[in-house]
This record gives sequence, C-alpha cells and structure tokens, in this order.
Amino acid sequence: MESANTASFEKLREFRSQVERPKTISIVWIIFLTLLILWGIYALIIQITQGHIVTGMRDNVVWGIFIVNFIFFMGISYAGALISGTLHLFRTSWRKPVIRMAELITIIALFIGPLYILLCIGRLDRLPYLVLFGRIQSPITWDVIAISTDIFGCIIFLYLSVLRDIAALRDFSELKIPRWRKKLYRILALGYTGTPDQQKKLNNATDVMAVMVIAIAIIVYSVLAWIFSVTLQPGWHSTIFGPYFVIAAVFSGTGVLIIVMWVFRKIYHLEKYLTKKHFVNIGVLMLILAAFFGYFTFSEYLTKWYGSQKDDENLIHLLMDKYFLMFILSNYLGVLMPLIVVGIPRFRTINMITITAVVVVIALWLNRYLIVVPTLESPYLPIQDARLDWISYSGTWVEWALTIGGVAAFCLFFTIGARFIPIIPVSEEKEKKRKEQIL
Amino acid sequence: MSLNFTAMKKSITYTILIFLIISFSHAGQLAQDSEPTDIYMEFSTWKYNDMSRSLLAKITSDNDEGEHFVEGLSVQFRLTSGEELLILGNAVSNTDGIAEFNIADGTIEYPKDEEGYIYFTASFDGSDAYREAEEELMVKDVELSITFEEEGNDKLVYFEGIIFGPEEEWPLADDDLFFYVPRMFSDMKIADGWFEEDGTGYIDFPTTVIGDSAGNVLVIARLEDHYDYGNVEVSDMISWATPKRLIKAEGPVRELWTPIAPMWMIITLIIMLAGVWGHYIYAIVQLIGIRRSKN
Repeated sequence: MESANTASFEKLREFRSQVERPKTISIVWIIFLTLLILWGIYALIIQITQGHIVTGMRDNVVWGIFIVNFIFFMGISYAGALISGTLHLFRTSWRKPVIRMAELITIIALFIGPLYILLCIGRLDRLPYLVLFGRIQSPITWDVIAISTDIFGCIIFLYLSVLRDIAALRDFSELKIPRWRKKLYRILALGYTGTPDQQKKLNNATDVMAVMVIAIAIIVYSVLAWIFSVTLQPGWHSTIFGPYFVIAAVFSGTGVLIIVMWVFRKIYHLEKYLTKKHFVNIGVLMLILAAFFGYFTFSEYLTKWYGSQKDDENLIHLLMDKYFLMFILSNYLGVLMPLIVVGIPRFRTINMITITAVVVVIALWLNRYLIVVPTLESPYLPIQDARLDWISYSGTWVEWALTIGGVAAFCLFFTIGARFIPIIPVSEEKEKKRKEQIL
Repeated sequence: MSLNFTAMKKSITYTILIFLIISFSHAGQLAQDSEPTDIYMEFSTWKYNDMSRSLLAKITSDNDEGEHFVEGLSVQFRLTSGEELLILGNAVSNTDGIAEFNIADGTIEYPKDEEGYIYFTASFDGSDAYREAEEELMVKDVELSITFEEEGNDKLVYFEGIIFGPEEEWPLADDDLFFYVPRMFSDMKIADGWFEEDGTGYIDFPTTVIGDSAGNVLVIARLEDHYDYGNVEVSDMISWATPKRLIKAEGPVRELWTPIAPMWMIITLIIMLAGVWGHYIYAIVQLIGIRRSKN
C-alpha cells in the first residue's frame, strides 16, 4: 500500500506541472480555442434566427457536413472505447501511457458528436417527441437508446479507470491547486485508499466495464451504420455497412490517438513514457485497420459497380467525376499511406507515423462525406423541377464555423481534461498478481 | 519637374480619351446586342360545356439554349367583323408563355361571316426586349352534346354536333370525335366517334375503364385542334366504370409503418438493454461498496 502510494507520488511529482497552474502558452491556447468556439456559437445563433436556409442543406440533400461530423466524432469515440477496453482487458504491457488518452477521446468525442445531430434538426422544439412518441422499430430510436447507453457506460468506465489517480491526487499534499479542486478530488475519490477489498471491487468493476464498452462500441456504431443501410438509397442499402463502419471508426480513432500522443509528447515532454514503441504498436494497429478498411471499401464499390444497377452506376459516376479527388484521397491515399509508412521499417519514425495519422483522419472524414452527400445528390426518386443548387450540396460558412467550433471544443475539453487528471496514469497496480487473477 | 508634370497630365488625358473611345465603341456593341428578339405566337381556342370560350396565345422565343417560353407579355385579343375591330381584352403570358383570355357564355354576340366563321386576332405590340407579333384564327361556332343510354348489355354514348351559322344552324357531319377519361397524368383516349350526315353518332363505352369507388367517371368528348372548329369539348359524369378498389399489397409491409414493433425486436431490445444496464448496475454497486468500505 505504502510503497504503491510512494511510487504514485513519485510520478505525480513529474506530472504536477501538468495539473497545477497552467502556463501562459496554455492560457493563450485556451483563449484561442474559446474564440473559435464563440465563432461557432455565433454561426449557431445565425442558424437559429434565420433558419436552415443559411446552411447548404436543402430538400434533396438533407444531410451535409453536420451529419459527417456526427459520424466522425462518434467513430473516434468508439475507437477510443475499443482501444482502451481491449488494452485494459488484455493487460497489454505498454498500454499505460496510451490508455488514458484513448479514454479521454472516447468521452469528449461522445459528448461533441451528438450535438451535430441537434444542429441538423429544424424544429428543436419537437425533440422531446423522440422520447415521448418514440417507435422502437425506428432506427433513429435505436440510435438514441444506443448513444445514451454508450455515454453512460463510457462515463462509468472512465471514472473507474481514473479513480486510483484521483485518490493519489487527493492524498498528494505537495500539489498546489485551489481548494475547490482538492475538495472535488476528495469527493470523487469515494474514500478509496487501496485496501485489498477496495482494489478487488474496483478491478472487478473495471474488468466488467471494459468488456461492456467494447461490446457497446461495436453495437452502437453498427446501429449508426444501420440508419444508413436500412434506407433504400443508392450506396447505403448495404449488408456490410455495420462492420464497415466499425472498422472505419477504429481506423480513424487510431489516427486521432496517434496525433494526440504526438501532441502531448511534445507539450509535456513525455518522451520517457511515449516511446517509438508506442507509436509503432498503434501504427501497426492502424496498418491492419487500413488493410481491412481498404478491403471493405473495395468490396462495397466492386459489387455495386459490377451489379450495374442504373442508380448505383449514377452514384459511382458521380464519385469518379465530381468527387474524384476526394475519392482518391479517401480510399487510396488513406489506405496506402499507412501500409507503406508503417509497413516499411525505414519509414517507421514517430513523425512519419503521425503525418500518416493526420492523412488517415482527413481521409476518413472525407470517406463519411462521400457516403452521405453523393448518395443524397443521386436519389432513386429525384424531386421534380428541383433547382440545380438544391440538388448539389456544398457546405456554407455557418456549417464550417460550427465544424471548426466542434473541433476546437474537442481540443479545449482535452486540454482541460488533461489539467484535471494526469495524462499518464500515475497509480501503481500489482500487474503480475492481477494477471494471475484474470488467468 | 514641371516637364514631368506636363507629361503626366498628357498621359492621363490620353488614357481617359482611350477609355472613352473604348467605352463608346463597346456601348455601340451593347446597343446592337440589345436589339428586340423575335417571338413566335401560337393561337388557339377552346370551347367548353358551359358554352364559354378560351382564347390562348402561346408565346415562345429562341435563344442560344433553344426555344423557351416568354413570360410577362401583354397580349391583346380582338374580334374582327369585316372592317370592324372589337377589342375583347388583354391577358399577360404566364410562366408557360400562355396568355389566356376567357369569354363567358352570353357576354358577346360573335359576328360571323356567310360560312359561319368567327375571326379572332391576338397581338403583341412589341417592347424594348421583344418584337411585335400577331396571329389570326378563324373558327366556326360548334355545340357538342353527349347522352348516355343502356341498350340491353350495351352501354352507348350518343353524341351530336351542331354548327351555328350567322342566321341558321346545320349538323356537324363526316368528322371525328374523340372520347377520353381523365387519368392521373393526362387524359386517356377510350374511343373514336364519327359524325354521320345528320350530325349524330355513338360509341360503345368500354368495360375496362376504372372509375372512383362508386364507378363514376367523367367522359370527355373532344374535337381537337380542328381546322374549322378549333378545340371543342363537352363532358359529363356517368357511373358506368368499374369501381376502384384498393387492393392490399401482398407480402411483408415495411416494419417502420407497423403500429407496434414486432415482438422479436421488443424481446431482443429488452434482453440487450437488461444485459448492458445490469452490468452498469454491477459496476455502480462496486463503487458504492468502495465508498462504504472507506476507512
């Protein structure tokens, strides 16, 4: 007990600058992010007062960048849950520096993603009807149930994961933080002192929740995919959309995780904790997922192309013509770059893996755009005499401002989250003994 | 310094001059570009059940993209009787390029020539954008009537056509009359009739026509774009059609439209939610246990 606490305190001394008073550069960064969020809020006010006419969404293309952002954020959230849950469950030896970041990605993205759904809704006053008159057979109802269940589960899992560190922060008297934060740590620590009984309870609960978040992440993202695949639209009505979405989600999530690792490694000088091994390991995961993603994408488009149905052909023509560059970047560069960079040892450096991760994240955002927009631009039943600018979609400044606002909110919450809890877990656990217990 | 200033003044003057010359030459070109455009007018007339008449002038024009309808032109409609002109009124062309003028029954005594022709004129006086155009139309005044009679198992539609001359009337003989029933997108032809010498005729009403739920259907008899009579139409309702019955589609219905979710879905959802939330409750109970066991 005592030795564990001492070890935790040793580590906390290293991370105290992270959780204590923020540096000037950190404050400037927070102000910058806040300004971007305020710009997004201004765009939101414009949208609420003037209506959805200020967006690019019209009768034909009823979903645009907002829904793309929703799928994207939910994707990285599920990826975070899957990665952290799996690493925890299998007691992977190198997991510690990575797991907290994955958990934070999960929670923060899970709170930001659904906000974009609200931005799509023209009549927010009717939102309670979704619960009051919800129909179980509606995929939208499935999604509401699934996301709310997922949010709750992920909060419990994150809380269980950080409980030891919160207890260590409560007990670490050298920490110079405001009184309210000390009080908050005391409340949140639940009186955890690391007694054998408490450890047993905590470990049991964490193991159970690790299994749950993995299962829920797969189910919830499949439900999101089914919203599309149960709809009779060219490009959506596909049986492989569930696993395809799950793979794409984890693929994008590994990209975001690598970027976050690189940023925190630079800012907090975590070279000792986040080594090349961590980047390569997550990079290899990204490589495997890239191969799966490429396989699913090829399978999806090959069957549609070979089937030669008129509407599928129209869609593929649209993808190869109007959206050609996006298609290449999303489905070729986004797949090939991880295979080459991580696959060939010579290119396997931290910076190269991070650059690849950036490309992957952009490619996967574009992939969601290509799933949503071109399909809506080529429906089975076109609206008669629809204006050309209603058939083609392009995002307006309002949508882009809200997108940037969302990304800024993600970064801001991550910054604040990292100030509240050490980004690398500091509490010690008797790994060997736990492994034996699990086995 | 002063020399430089003079040179600068000169260059500015020349620049302005060149600019003005180019502007004027361009303005001339613009003036040429803004010459009025030719328009084309199609003039037709329709006579209906209630003896009212519509005069329609359809205006089109050609540009680089092909033929298009001209909207917003005021067309004057007139009646001609020898040397006399009677102005009926004006109508503005709509988005389909059609200017329509309606004449109710009894409002006008149509002047006719010896053969019974009435002369209508539609004209546009021209504007800055479009050249003037005029079209003339001569039609005879015709009255159609239809009656429905059942003879044994046969259902017959009798029809009669009368031409009104300046003084007398005579039968509409040796000509076609087409019969239609209205459908969702356009009228469907059901039979061709033929006017006999006495101006009458009949058709067999087809047994395959679908009507409303009571079997009612509107039967339309029409002279179409006739060189002597223009368009003349008469219609009446009859309950001879096969009543329309909505046949419930066989096979599965999309589950989204069912009043309640299928049982398998409800059971699956309950099992899944109970399983997940059961584990959540287990984790929360463990946390409560940690809280209770604090020193």
